[in-house]
Amino acid sequence: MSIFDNPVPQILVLSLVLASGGIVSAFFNSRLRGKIFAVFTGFAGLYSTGLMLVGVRNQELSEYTLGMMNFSLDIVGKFFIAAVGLGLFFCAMYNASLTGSSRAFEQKNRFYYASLGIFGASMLQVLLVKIDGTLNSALLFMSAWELMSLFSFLLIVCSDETQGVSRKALTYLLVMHVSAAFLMTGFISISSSSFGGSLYGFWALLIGFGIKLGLFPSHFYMADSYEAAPGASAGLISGVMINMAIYGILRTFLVCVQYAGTFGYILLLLGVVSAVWGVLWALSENRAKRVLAGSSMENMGLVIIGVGVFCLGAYVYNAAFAAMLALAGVLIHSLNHSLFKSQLFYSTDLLRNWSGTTDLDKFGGQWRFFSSLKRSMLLGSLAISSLPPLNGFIGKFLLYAAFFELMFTADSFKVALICVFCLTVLGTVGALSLFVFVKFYSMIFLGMERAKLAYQKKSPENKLNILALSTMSLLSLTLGVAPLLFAFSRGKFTEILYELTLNAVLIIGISLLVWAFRHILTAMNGSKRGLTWGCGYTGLNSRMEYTADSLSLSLMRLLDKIFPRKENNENIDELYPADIVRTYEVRNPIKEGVDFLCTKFNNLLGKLQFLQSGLMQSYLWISVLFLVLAIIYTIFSSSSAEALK
Amino acid sequence: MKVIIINIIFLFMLPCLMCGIIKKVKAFFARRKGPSIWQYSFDLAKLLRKGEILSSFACIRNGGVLALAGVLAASMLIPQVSGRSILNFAYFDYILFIYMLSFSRFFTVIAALESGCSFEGMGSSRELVFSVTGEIALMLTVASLAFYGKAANFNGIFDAVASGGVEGLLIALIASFVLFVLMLLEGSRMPIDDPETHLELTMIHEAMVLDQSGPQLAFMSFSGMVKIYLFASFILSLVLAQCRSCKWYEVYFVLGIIVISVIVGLVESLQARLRMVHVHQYILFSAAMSLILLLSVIIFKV
Repeated sequence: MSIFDNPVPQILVLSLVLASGGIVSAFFNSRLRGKIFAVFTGFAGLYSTGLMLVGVRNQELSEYTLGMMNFSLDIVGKFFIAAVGLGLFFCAMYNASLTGSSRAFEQKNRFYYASLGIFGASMLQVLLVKIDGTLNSALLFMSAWELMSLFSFLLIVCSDETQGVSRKALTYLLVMHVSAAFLMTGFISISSSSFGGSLYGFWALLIGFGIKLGLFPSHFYMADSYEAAPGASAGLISGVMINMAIYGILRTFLVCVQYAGTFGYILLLLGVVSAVWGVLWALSENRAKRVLAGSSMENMGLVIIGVGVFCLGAYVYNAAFAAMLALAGVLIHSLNHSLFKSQLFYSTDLLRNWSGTTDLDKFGGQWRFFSSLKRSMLLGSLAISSLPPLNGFIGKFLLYAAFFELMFTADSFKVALICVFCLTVLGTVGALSLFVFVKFYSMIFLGMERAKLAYQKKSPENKLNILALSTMSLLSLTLGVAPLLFAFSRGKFTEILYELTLNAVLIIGISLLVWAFRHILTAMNGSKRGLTWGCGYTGLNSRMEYTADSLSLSLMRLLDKIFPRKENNENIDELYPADIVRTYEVRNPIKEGVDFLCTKFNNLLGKLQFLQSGLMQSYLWISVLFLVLAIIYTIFSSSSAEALK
Repeated sequence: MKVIIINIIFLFMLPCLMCGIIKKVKAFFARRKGPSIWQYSFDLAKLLRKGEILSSFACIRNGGVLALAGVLAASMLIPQVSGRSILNFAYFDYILFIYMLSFSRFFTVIAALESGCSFEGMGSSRELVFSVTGEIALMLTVASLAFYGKAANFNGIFDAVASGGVEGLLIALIASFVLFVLMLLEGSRMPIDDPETHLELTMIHEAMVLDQSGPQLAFMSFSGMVKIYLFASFILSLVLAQCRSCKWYEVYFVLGIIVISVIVGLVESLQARLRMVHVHQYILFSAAMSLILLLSVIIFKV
């Protein structure tokens, strides 16, 4: 059987191509580095996506063994590999387009390229490893997972921020290893008891993958890490790597079904809290990448809600169609999220290279400088607010449909109440994410410039950039208008997707009609430009514009206990003050809580500081003491006492 | 075919008529004669004949177009005058309805913010916050109604309410109360927003259309009116559910529209605009009513 019959060894070879591409490109000079990397990565990404699209209708399991390592790919794995391949392809395109400006820091960094290549390779390998409850497979999975965590840490280390990078990167590494510890515990307890898994192992795996996803209490590291990660890798880390955790959770449930029932409710609760918290947190943040981090938390909360509905539908209430819709929603939303999230991260990085900041309070009026970016970012904002006709709506609609189907099929009032409550949360989260992304888009592009920023001499938009970002937004539009690309067979599900297509065509058709009507009218009656009326105020300037903070201020003041703002107001002493500076700071109480606990723990450990005396003699003395105590314990413990008798 | 034509004709007539009747009722309470009930259509026709002036900072320039498009798309989905909707989607078209309205809101706010004026920022901020609380109430209502009828689309909901007899009517009345408050919210009527004011303290929607002119102003105003009409259609389809296939349904519907317009006019005349903080409480009060709706659905299904 040749290598081309089985997709698994091909993907393995592709991951090696990725890794070697990263390392090879590190040897070239900075002009060629990005392009060489893009060639390798683009090829690997396109090939893996194409392979999966070709092979996706073949629903059987593909397996491959290399020595003691078992790899396998089933339909879920194939879907995620297609998603990763797509993400890698666009990362390659964007990376190649970064010009050698003084702020495109990563162009000069060989280490960054090597890490990026190995990071991409590790993500493919995580998806290939066969998870079957044995310790062998668990070790292989954990080694691929560790590679992923380690190299994403190294990518954050290559950040182009100026302050506090080491602390942010180390926080990220620490949290990733806490998650890895939970995962390892979970795998061990699952493999040591029977194949069905133990409850403790299940909890540990859920917590481990949840920390990676940023579910409720463990989201505090996400803002700093995603903000610090340099341009192209931020898109990969927040859009693609986060899907690996979803893949892990799905695998856990698909393998160990015993506890799926209780876990359905727990996942619903966790998902609801994460989604609501995430979107409110995104609203409270005023720096672009942090807003996107909060939005990642919200979308992952929605996906976890979908996994919860899947569990309830499949294992508890026998609502097969609801479970199918939920699983479809989970997979489709993960893919779509990686698409529009990476697009928004790349656009933000472009803006940062251009102006040196990501602070929404300082942007404004960027529409003058960018012709294509404003269009693609508008489509990206529409997609992420899950509005038709774009792709973000598809996954959300499938989740809604799953809840309604569950409500109808499982004829119980408890389920109805839970479903109605979760539906309300879904709707509210949708309205809030619309708020967040209207703020995000309008503060960057619309109106007037709010602050004097140090712009680069040349616009960062070049042909490759525009191609990359426009392709991503066009793909979003296509997936939104034609979600039938996701359907495999005829049936009720295909009818639902067909209805979504009709809806998308409806809104686009009506928009075109109204636009044509208005075009005719303005052609007949004229259209002019004039200064904004400003409701009678003359001397309109950018200081009168609403800032990002003020747009969300009314809601944030209502939520002051959960998202506290610290306002630093100068005292006004004079009668006619010349200049008043008011600053504010968005506090993160969970991060402060974690910092507090860590400080306490450090102090506790500090009490043992006396052991670190530096004297070899005291170390030897402690070792001798330990040996003596061990011998005494062994002599006096019951089993050896009997043996001595 | 007849359904489509009747729906479209009345879609362009009734919203203006509704707002004209509301104005007449307010004039009656102020002991004035008031403008003609067709005044709004005259105003829209006048605006369509004018040229437009765009702000020099405007970048999207098509916000009004897309806002109207969203509302018109939503109007294709909900049953109106003839008792049937123009498009009959089989699966969860109530979700599509809600999201079309959100699409319209996105572009209304973008169109408002692109002029860079502080009033529009203020209006957008208020509008976005109110829409969040409104969405809670709307989603709760729709989900409860769907559970009542185990209905996957609007037709299913109304058929279930029709076959429910007295219980169905009670469900319809409670849902209508919530939908009435949401109609006031979406249509920017008192006590949530004052459509006649131009004072900063009280503007929400009026603030958002300050820099629109000509055809786009006509589109924005008309989309507000159509939103009132759509929620009124929802209410009437619930209340008149039992005679959806009656011969004179169209007459009952138009009578119902007039009654609802008079009630809105009464509310506008008798109630001042609430303080901003109290508006939140008002909308959440309607969300609480939809919880009562959910409770009654559960009680009736037991």
